[in-house]
Amino acid sequence: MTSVADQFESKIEHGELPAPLPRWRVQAKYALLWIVFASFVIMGAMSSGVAMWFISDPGGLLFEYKNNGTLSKILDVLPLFWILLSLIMIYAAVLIFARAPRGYKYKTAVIGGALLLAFTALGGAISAAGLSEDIEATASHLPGYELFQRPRINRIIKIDQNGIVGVIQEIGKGQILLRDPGGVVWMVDISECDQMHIDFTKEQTCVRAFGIPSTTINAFQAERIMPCPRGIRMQHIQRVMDDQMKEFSR
Amino acid sequence: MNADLYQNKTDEELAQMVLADAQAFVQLIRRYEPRLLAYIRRISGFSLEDAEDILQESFMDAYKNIAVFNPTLKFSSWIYRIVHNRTISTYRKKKKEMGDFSIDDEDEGLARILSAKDDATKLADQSLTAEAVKKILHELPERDRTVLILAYMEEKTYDEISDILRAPAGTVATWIRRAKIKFQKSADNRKISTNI
Repeated sequence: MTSVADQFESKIEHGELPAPLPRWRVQAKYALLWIVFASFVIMGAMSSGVAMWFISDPGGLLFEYKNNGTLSKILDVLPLFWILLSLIMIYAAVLIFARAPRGYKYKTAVIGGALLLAFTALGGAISAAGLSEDIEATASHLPGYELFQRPRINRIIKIDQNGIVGVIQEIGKGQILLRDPGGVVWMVDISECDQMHIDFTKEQTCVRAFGIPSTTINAFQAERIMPCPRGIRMQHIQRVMDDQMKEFSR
Repeated sequence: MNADLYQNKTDEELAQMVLADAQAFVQLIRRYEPRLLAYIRRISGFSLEDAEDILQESFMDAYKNIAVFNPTLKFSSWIYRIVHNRTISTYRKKKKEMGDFSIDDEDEGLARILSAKDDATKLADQSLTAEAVKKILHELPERDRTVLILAYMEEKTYDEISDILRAPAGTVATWIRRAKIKFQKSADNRKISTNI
């Protein structure tokens, strides 16, 4: 019986050997692999950046919650959508990396851990650079985004009767004019406000004021004033209020 | 064929020549044919004819995908990986219809397994026969058998086994340690039952 080498030699001589895969196809395949990997890393870093921006919101956890424990509060305000997206990107990137030419040399836990650290560092940088808000605002136009965020939004903007939410229209001495989602302009007295966590240099800023509303005129005595939680926009507040109105009319 | 042209080339250099010159691949086949044939039989227990078929198909796979070969990797590890994958895939299909595990009794690798020693434990008692080692190997789970064969019969380093089995070197070390313990246990049991 002839050896395998002899059989191959005979096939070469008779031109029966199929052509090998060209090198460019292999290179293109690996290039595509790394592009997909880089895309997952970029998306993961961006998601982490937005998640960190949400978590580091100074007003997020300060919201008034009644009958809720600390863990419940934390879970309520965690941007679960963005955290989940980051984790999915880590998983996808690990899968892709394992298919890279030398990817098998590293344990899955090591790759996953390294990606987690990278996402945290890059996410921190993105958040610090102030890009997270733009990313989140862009994502908010995606279909279905609000559906994912709705439970968090509903919980976080639930305001009791001693609160008011609106956009700053005008800033005066010791008072601000605030337009609520219903279009009503409130005169908010901030002269006795003991906590003001907002940047008054910005008009059109969405804020929350806690204090005592007047029963006769559109005036409000604020005791504490804070920015709206990150990611909360006027249309969200409007929607929640509309829901509340519908419930009230029933 | 100008044999001198290929004689002084390393495997990796020959592999890089294949796309332009198919004869370089014939030279590689000549270098690897005997040991890969033995490897297929060691891990699967296939007959010589079946092993030759697998080897031929593996070389065909390797030739078609020669552009995939990464020159920073040893060609030996790459070709072992291809042969290993095809053998295991065929072995899984044929496992049920297979009879005895047919490694040659004269296989020198069996002697190496017999004489393999750890710092703390002896892998197998010298009194075990080559036949007994064959049986123990056959009874071991597929991965344990493979790592023992690669480490002791093929005398591959952990790094090479890592490249062949596409697993981290640390994981390979763990597999080998566990396989050795299982082999030792089976050897001990066999000794006891023989004594009884």
